[in-house]
This record gives sequence, structure tokens and C-alpha cells, in this order.
Amino acid sequence: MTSEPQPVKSDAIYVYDGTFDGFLTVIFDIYALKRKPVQIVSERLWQPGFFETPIHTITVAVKSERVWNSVVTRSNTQVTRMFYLAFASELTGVEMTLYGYLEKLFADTTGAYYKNMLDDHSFELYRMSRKVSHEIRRFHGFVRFQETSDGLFFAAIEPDHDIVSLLAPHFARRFGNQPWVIYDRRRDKGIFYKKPEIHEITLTDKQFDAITGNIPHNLKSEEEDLYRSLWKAYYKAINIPERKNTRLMLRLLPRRYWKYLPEKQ
Amino acid sequence: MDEKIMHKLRILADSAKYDVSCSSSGSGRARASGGLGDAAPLGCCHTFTEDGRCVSLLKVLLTNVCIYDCAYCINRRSNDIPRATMKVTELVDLTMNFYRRNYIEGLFLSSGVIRNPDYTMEALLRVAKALRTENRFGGYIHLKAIPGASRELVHEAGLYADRMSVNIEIPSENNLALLAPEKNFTGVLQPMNQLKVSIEEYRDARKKIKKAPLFVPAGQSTQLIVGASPDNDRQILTLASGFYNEQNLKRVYYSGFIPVNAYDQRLPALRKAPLLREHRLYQADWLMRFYEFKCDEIVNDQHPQLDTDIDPKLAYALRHPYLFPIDLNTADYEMILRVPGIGVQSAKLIVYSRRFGHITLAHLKRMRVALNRAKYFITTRELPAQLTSLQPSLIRRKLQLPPEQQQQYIQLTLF
Repeated sequence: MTSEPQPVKSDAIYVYDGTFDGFLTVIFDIYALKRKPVQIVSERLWQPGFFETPIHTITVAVKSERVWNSVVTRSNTQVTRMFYLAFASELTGVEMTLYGYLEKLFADTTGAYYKNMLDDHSFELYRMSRKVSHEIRRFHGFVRFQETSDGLFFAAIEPDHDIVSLLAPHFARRFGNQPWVIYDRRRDKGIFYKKPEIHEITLTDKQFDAITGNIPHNLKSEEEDLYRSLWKAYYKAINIPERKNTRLMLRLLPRRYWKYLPEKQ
Repeated sequence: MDEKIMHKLRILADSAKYDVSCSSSGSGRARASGGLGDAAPLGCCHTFTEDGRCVSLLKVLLTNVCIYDCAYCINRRSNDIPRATMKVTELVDLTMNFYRRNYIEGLFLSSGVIRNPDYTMEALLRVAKALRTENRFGGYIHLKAIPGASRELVHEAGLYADRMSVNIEIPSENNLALLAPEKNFTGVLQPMNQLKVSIEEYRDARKKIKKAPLFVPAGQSTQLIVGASPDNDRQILTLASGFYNEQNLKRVYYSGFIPVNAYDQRLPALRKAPLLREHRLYQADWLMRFYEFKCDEIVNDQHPQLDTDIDPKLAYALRHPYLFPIDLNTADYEMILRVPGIGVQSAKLIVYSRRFGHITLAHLKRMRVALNRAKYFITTRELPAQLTSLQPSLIRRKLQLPPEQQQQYIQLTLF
């Protein structure tokens, strides 16, 4: 007589540190503890409830690596990139979507699950990752550097998704001969580049303006204000008033991005 | 000094803005070691103006002084407007400093014709050369080829530029002669054909030798003004289709005519720029470039003018009801592309996905298929039969622009 497989309880809340490694550790623990999640949430967003006893996951590199390797061997580079981008979306519930995807991927015996775009989880992964890659493309254009007196180029951003480190390759390729910083003020972290180094940083002594993200006058390079005002003048001059189409402009350049664009000040 | 450059920039950007080309894609130029900038293969929009147009490049004229007197052009010599000319160093400084701050992808340099075509072409060339050689600038450069300039100068410009363009502006020979008596078709086509040959030569050379120099790697483009002459959509699209097939152009831009010289009796009295017509032409252009439509399937003897109330793909489908409805689970990719409401992205997704199962309406919806249009032209398991029995006039009435939007774009009859 064969015994029925034990139903795995689906009641656990996993709380993790918000990092990608932390999330993969959660996945490892779900399988190790045999307790399915009803919620996976980062510490930052976790609101303790009265009757709940969450499982606090401690990030362990060995665990996350094992999970990641497993994802890599069962899919292809497109899927692994989509997976990472979707995680970076920070959309509510993204962790459960990714867990649902992995559950199917790991249970798959055909070896083709990851290609099936008709599957709900697969498509959701695709949809979320597209949101993020779209924002990355936008920010290739919307980052605005200010030159400091010691030749550093500084830009503040507030993207919807956690993309600052994903912006780095584009700007490193392009601005290889100038040191620069792109700083995500919402997540309080940034990328510092000075050939050949590239680091993730958190600024402790913030010298830029708390509202506008502008660097103070005494730290600006001599020409900074000139080129900034030339750019604003150019932006005005290139517009054709007879073709005014505010709705289209707002769709392409939503108001939430205006804060750090000199031409929209 | 600062005041002067500000003044010049205002004038020369204002004079350049009627050239609608903005693209910065298709080059893929790598950054020179120790240099500044590369050209992203996909292009990049840095901001959008109040008219909803993308700003990708610093688009200016070298000078707005011009020896010609074309009726449709703001910079014609008989216009009494402020004139200015930029120095090479000023343009280089502006480009480099805008680029460093990530304001732009590069420079789009055009010019009025001063003294003679050769003199003008050489001036444009000097700017591109200074950027590429002295400043090791790897960003995008779009240069105008000046009709009438010598072959050597046009060729040399091609070695520094990512894209070059010659604007036809008026879509038929007789109307060009009327509105721009100093220009003619042959003069404009000459540099275009020359560039086409060189682009192909250099591209072939690069297949054999990796280090072979680049020559206009992002290809060439042109612009047609819509509504300044009585040319119909069929003439315009036939010309454009010829440019794509014969001259291998990357883009044809359509610019709804803005009456800048209202006093000129040769021009039509337009109350408003024909923006809806321009939009329909772009839709037709897309059908030719990405949807495998032939020009005469979109416009022909019976239908020389695009329908403004409905888009050209829907118009095609309603003219050919016997081709529909099609079964998305079995139809060819080319046929799926012809369904109104299905774009290139979703057509590819459909063809890719259907081997994993039956495509349902829910799938189509999340693939962003515009079902309000597509539902009349497709069959799936769930679609009720009466929806797919085509009655073109009925569908048309349901899908055409609402009357208030038609009003918005109302046009006076020309001539």
C-alpha cells in the first residue's frame, strides 16, 4: 500500500532582509522546512499582526547560491534576467509571484516550463520584468548630471523600481573617462564610478539639497549654471507651440520624473 | 560671451525645430578608448517637449542664413528674422557639455545654405571632424548632406557621421518647382544615391575586415512636408516606399505643414497643422516597415487618400472582409500581423506561445491585444459567431474616431 504524500502546510509568513540573496534563502528554507508561505515580505514592509508568528529568515549565501544555480540550470539567460528584473520591481506581492513561478519550475518534468508564456506565473514574471526594463530605458535618458568643482558628475534619481545598480553598465560604457555618481534618494543608495572602479555606496554626509537634489553653489563647477540654463533655453526653443500636445508629453514624461530634470523646473 | 551664445542657441534651435527627425538609434558605435560617449543601438529619448516630441539630440543649425527662398521655410532669405551663425568651437563646447551631463545623445547639425553648397558642407564637416578627432567624441552625430555639394565633401562627412539625411520636403517634382524654384528632385537624389552606394560598400568591407572604418552606420533618412502642396497620400507613400526599397533609407519623416510664411500666396491657407493626416501617414509607414504591407495595399487608384476616421490597417481589413476572420491558433504570422488591434509584439507572442496550448481571449487581453478592434477579425473558442460575421459598414461605425475628435482635426480644403 502506498501512502498519500503528506499535504504541506501553507500558513507560514517569511520575513527577510529585502535583498535578492535574502529572498533566495527564503526559497531554500521553504523547501527545507516543508512549510509553504502565505506571504513573503521584507523587514521594511513587515507589519506584525497579533496572531502571527513569522519565520525570520537569515540570509545565507550558500543557500541562496544553491537556489540560484538551480534556477540557472533549469532555464536560460533570458529567464534569469527576467527573474532578477522582476524582483527589482519591488511591486507588492512580487515575492509570492516569483515563489509560485519557482514552485512550477522546480516541479517541472518536461524541461520546457520556463518557455511557456501561456502560464499565469510565467506571464506575470514577464510583465513585471518589462516594467523594470522599461524604466531602465527611461532613466538612460532621464538621469541629469551636475558637475562639481573637482570634476565629479553627480545625479540624483527617484525611480519607481530598484534600478540604480542596473543603470551602471550603460553609464560606465558611455562615461568611462569621467567619474560619476548616480544616487537613488528613495532607497538611499547609489553607484560610484571612477575608472576602473565601480562601487555601491550610501552617502553619510549628504551635501546636496534635500528637496531638489541640487549640489550647493560652492561645490558646483564654474560652468555648471551656464550649461544648465543653456539647456533650459534649448528645451524651450525646440518646442513647436502650434503642435502643443500636453497629454502626449505627460504620457511620455510623467510628472513624477520632473523633479530632477532642469528643463522642467 | 554667455549672453551671446544663449542668444545664438535660441535662434538656431528655433530655426531647426521644423526638421522632425529625432532618432538616435541604429548606430551602435563603441566608445573610443579614453574618449567620451557611445551610441546606444536602441537610441534614447532624453526629454519630451510640450508638443510631445522626443528630444534626443542637440538639434541646431550652424547658421540660419540662407541663399535660397523656399516658400515653406522659415529661414528663406526674404524673411525678416534674426539671423545667427555658430562657431565650430561653440558647437563643440555645447555638444560636449550637454553630453557630459546626459542631456543628449549627440548632435543633429543642419544649416541654411551660405555662399554655396560646398562652403556649407565643409562647415558642417569641420564640426563633426573636430568632435570626432580632437575631442574623441563617440556619441551620435546626424549631419545634413547639402544638395549640390561635391562628392568628396559628402563622402568625408559620412566617415564622421552616424546618420546623414537629405530632405526632399515637397513630395512631387512639379510642386517642388513651384515652391522652391531653386531646387529640383535630381539635385536632392544625387547625394542620397551616392550615400546609398558608399554605405553598402563600407558595410560589406566590415563583414570581411572587422576594423574597417564606419560609414554612416545608422543609415540615412529624409523628410516630406505634408499639406504644403496638393500632393495626395498615394503620391507621398509611393515616394516613401521607393526610398525604402531603392535607396535603402532607414526612415522617412512626415512633417505636417505649419504655415510659417502665411503671406506666400503659393501656399494653402491652413487653419491648423494637419496633424491627424500626419499621424495616419506614420501609421501607414509603420505598416510598410514592420507589418509587411505593400504600398498599393494601403493606398491605390481607388483609395488615393488615407481615411482619417480610421487607421489604415483597419481600413485595409474592412476593404478585404473575405480575408477574415482568421484563427489565431493556426494562421501564419504574416496574416496575424494584418489583424487590426494586434501589433508586432503580440503577434510574435501569439505565434511563440500557441505551441504550448490554445490561445484564449484572456491570453490575448494580457498580451495587450486591442480586443475592441481585433474581436471582429479573429476566431477563438469563446468568440460568439455573430461578432465575427463581418459587416464592414457596421464595424466602421463602431470603431471610427468619435465626432468630437474628428472636429478637433478639421481641415480646410486645399487650393
